[in-house]
Amino acid sequence: MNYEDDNVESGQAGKSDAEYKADIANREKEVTKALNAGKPQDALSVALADPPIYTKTAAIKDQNATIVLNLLGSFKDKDVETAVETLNDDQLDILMKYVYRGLAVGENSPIFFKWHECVLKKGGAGTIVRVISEKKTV
Amino acid sequence: MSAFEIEHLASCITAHAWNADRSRVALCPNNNEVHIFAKQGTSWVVEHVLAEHDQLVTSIDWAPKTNRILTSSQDRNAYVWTFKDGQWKPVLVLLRINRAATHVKWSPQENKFAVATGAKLVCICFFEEEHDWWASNHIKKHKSTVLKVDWHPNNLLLATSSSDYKVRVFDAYIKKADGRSVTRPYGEVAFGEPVFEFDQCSSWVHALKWSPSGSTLAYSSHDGVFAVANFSTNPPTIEKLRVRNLPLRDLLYITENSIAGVGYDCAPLLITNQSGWKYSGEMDKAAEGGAAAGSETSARKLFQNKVDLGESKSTDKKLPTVHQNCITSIVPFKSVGGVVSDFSTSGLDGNIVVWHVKALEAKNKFKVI
Repeated sequence: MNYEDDNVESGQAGKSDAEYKADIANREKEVTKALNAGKPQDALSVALADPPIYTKTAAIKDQNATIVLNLLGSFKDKDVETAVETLNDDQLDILMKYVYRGLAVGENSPIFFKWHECVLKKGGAGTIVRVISEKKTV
Repeated sequence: MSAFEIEHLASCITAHAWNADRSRVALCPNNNEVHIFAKQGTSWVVEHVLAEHDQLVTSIDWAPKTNRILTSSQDRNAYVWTFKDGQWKPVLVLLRINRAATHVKWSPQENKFAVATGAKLVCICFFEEEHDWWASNHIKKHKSTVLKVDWHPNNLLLATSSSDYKVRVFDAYIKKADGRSVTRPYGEVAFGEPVFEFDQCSSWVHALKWSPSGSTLAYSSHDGVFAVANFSTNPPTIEKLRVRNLPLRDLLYITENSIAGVGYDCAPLLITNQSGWKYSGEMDKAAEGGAAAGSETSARKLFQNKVDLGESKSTDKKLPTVHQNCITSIVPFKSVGGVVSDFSTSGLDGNIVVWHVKALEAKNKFKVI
């Protein structure tokens, strides 16, 4: 094979698994706090910050995604659009990655389709292109 | 005057190149041949067929000063064609590679050229008088296929884009071709060592171009990233922006501060530098609402019709854009002092379209700066 995956991705910067684990514990706390305070918007930006894209450990990605996907799934249909409106381009790209992960799980799909529709409207087809082509998955 | 002229010359075009006075165009109709079309009256007719390659021709470059055609192919060869006694005669280039040649480019002074290859290297080729052939030196350092190359106007620096997600800049000084009297911009850099390496892209890098002055380098990748490196500082400063719709396959500097990008959206778009590079607008406004948005709703409609009406025939719809499929290549048609007034595009739909920038500006309300 001419294409060597590990070669291409070598030398990536990123946090260690232990740091990611601390991040995730922190994230869970912050998200719960913001939700209890009735601020799902704040919870969303906490959830989308600094995803564990560089780790190769699936368990860490799973653990992190569970928190974020639970949050996304807890949104009401009508709140999704306003939530998406406040996000910047970076956040839109990351959110779209979680949306596809959520759809892959196959539970609670209607709400993820709603997210998908809103992110696509705001961020354009480029957000989907980046989910498909980037190797840095959430 | 119409804003563009469209010419359907093949079912699919992998590469095209114009001669110096733009009276002829060489193109590959998606096979192992290169067809040279000449304009007779109002129609384009095939004048010559260059059939020396065994497999798909990937790239064509027509040197304006020396009137030599350079072609590369998946058969791992490149040829330099010269016109003698009414015939194009090929000379084989000794590439010494075991994978496809993907892209070729004459240096601005036409004393050497670069060949990008699937063998994770770039060949810098130069003419050896004593042997009467084109020999090559290899620039390795790539971890995957090299997709495009582009020469800096100083005839020395070469930028490469690769499917290992990186853009690299090399000093491609060849003593046998360049002589001793040239000043190299970054000093005595060892041949084959990258001067700079950029990693803004997270997917394979489709296209890259130097600006007319050579002070900036633009590139775009398959994850919809577009970036411009500015070489007025050392190391260069980089601006990165996201393409809203589908990725760009090729780029062209229309002026020092305006870039036309083409790709999977089937319509050229404009990116300009107004104290920062920004998306400026569609150049083919028939694509109102974006070709991507259009096809997306029509795809949905197709499935909806299947469910609601039991319709199963696919609706063969014409796109609202001039090009009917992905645009893979954009080259200047008329340019004076680095300002392109007309450019041409070709793609998978087999059309060659010549666009007139001034007429497009008036029609579609954007401004080239």
